[in-house]
Amino acid sequence: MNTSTPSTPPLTSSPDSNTGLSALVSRLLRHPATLMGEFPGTEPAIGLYLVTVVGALAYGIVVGSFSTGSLVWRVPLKLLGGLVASAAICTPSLYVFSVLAGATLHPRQLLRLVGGLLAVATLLLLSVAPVAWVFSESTTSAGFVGFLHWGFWLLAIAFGFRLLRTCSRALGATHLAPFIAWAIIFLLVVFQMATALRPWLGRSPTIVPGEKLFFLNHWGRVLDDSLSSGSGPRR
Amino acid sequence: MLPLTVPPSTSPPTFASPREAGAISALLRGEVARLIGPTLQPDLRRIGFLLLCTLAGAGLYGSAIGSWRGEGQMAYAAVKIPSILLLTAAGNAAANALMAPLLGVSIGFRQSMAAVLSGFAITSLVLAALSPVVWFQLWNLPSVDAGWTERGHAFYTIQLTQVLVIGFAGAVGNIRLYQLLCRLAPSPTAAMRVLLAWLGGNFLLGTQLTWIFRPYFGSHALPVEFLRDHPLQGNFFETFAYGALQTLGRH
Repeated sequence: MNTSTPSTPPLTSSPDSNTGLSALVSRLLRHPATLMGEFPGTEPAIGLYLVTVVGALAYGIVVGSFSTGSLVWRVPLKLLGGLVASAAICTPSLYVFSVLAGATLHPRQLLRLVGGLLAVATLLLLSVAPVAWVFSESTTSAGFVGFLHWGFWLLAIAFGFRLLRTCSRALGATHLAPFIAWAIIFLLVVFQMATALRPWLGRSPTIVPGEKLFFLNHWGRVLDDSLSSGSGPRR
Repeated sequence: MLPLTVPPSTSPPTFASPREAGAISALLRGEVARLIGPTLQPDLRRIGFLLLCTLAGAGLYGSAIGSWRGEGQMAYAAVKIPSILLLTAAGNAAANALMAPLLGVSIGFRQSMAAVLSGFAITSLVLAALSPVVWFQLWNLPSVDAGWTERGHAFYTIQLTQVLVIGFAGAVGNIRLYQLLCRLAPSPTAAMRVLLAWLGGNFLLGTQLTWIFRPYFGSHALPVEFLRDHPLQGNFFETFAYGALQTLGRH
């Protein structure tokens, strides 16, 4: 348990702060804690969610490019919808866990916190999208491409959690354990959401499957299929 | 999760009414003294605030766990979960008030009631926060219309999840209760003694009330109903002992 009180950056913005989207992204990457303080101009949460929408749709297009048929356009929408729904499901618990960790949190700051987490994660995904696209175009193994996307997603969300930690410290949080617990809950919800919105790769006549499955059962089936077929489903 | 050490003493109350924004945050942060007064002599309105948090939080969680069966189970569980908490607090109020001074913490009836209720209110708020996650999990499980094996697996998954979620929320509430008792007790040892005594009483009454008020998410093999046919027949401990003996092959 981390009970130390780290030095926190000031929450106020400098008077000459630029309020454009690029300045917001720069602030998000360089000084995320300042997003929790007073902010000149437009509410930054709007910009953060805009970045999330653009990033998720763009990365979704790359994920969808592996598939054929209607999945090509369904996947970006499912990615964005799943991400936002997962965040919405976990936002109440983020508030409670933040307060349990000692943070003083206003609902507006909570929105910025969630927006910042999603924006950083989707920006990271966007940055690795060219790499993912190259593999999507040059590989026929859905198992490998799926594994690659999960790897990129976990990397992206790890940076999101890092931002959450930085911002929560700026809000007065002194304990790390509640955030670790929340991060685990959020990851479980995302894994289950991905299972509920499957398939992501290949071909499917329906938008979502009729059968409800726990994500571990689904992963077990996918692993069995991949091992029995040798290389997984083909395009 | 939370430190068992007592947080530094808070400054005098900076807001008077629990209606103000931040009352829930203060409760979750363990600033109960700030919320209901440093001497823990709450008036009826402040007790009402703790009751409201318990009713709303536990009710929301109840409706989430009842969502697997649907029909009336959501409403039933939304009524039953907060009822168990409040009846446990009420049923043990006299015993709790009596035990505290006997074990070295000199507090009165109203103070002990407020302390226990604050623990239940914090637990209920944590349960409420996790309700969307639980609802999403149940929505993803095979429904009661699925095959016997699938719905049986779903039932046991729900049971396991509820143990984890309620255990976690209860732990948070009790850690905050201990921190509060530390403020009122002459020593942490006395605070721990009182906490353990209260926990013992609440466990005894709470488990039996839980038994009487079953079902909550509803067995996949039984119909939806508010109470079972003979709710007062048997008890939790008999059933637990019977199950243990069955497992060991001695019955």
